Amino acid sequence: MKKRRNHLAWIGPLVAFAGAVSYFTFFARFPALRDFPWVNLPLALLGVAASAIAVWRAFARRDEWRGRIVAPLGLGLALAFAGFLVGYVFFLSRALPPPSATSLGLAAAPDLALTDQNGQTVRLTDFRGRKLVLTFYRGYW
Amino acid sequence: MSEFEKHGAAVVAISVDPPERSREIAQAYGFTFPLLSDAEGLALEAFGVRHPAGNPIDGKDIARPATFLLDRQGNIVWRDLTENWRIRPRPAALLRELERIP
Repeated sequence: MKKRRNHLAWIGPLVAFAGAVSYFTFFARFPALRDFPWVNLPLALLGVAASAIAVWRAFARRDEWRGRIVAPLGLGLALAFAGFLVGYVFFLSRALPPPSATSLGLAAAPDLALTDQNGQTVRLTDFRGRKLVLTFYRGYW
Repeated sequence: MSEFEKHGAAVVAISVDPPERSREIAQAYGFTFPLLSDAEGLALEAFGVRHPAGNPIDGKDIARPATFLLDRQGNIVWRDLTENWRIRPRPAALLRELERIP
């Protein structure tokens, strides 16, 4: 009997890959989907589930389905992509020093002169008379 | 951005990026507000937001994400020091806080 092609073996890791990568390239732009990966986590888990089904087929239904080499490889890949997403979102991005006493205790903004993107010197006191949103970001390096 | 202006507020962002890098970023995203370069870490120190060796590529210090709201006299009246760098205050929340500043 000719065995059936186990397409989930490659669809699974592909979906998990798309789930992990599209967080960074697209979905993180939307605050609600960035703060919790409502799209990307389900996608990544779906990929793992598809890979798991492929493995189950290949071994528990080995007379019917192919893929006893490809399906476990696919599951490994899918787990790696999903693990990367979960690791970044829930662990790595929490790797920050705790708020310092200085940052919590400052009453007045220190005065500083820094250079902006056009090479102009900007002093924080230049904004007196207006409210100011002062945001520190990690940078793009 | 015009929403912030309506509230009488300016927006300034600070990172350790050199001005040339900030220029690329501002052009790529269409930012018109100042992106200030704190390559020497003066602001990181003054505001206490240094993340030692936070740059995973070269191991240099960077800013830990933080947002401060200043009133018209330069007093810090609100601050957010996130514990997860993915999670930052939403613009709507900042506008709500700005509304409360006289």
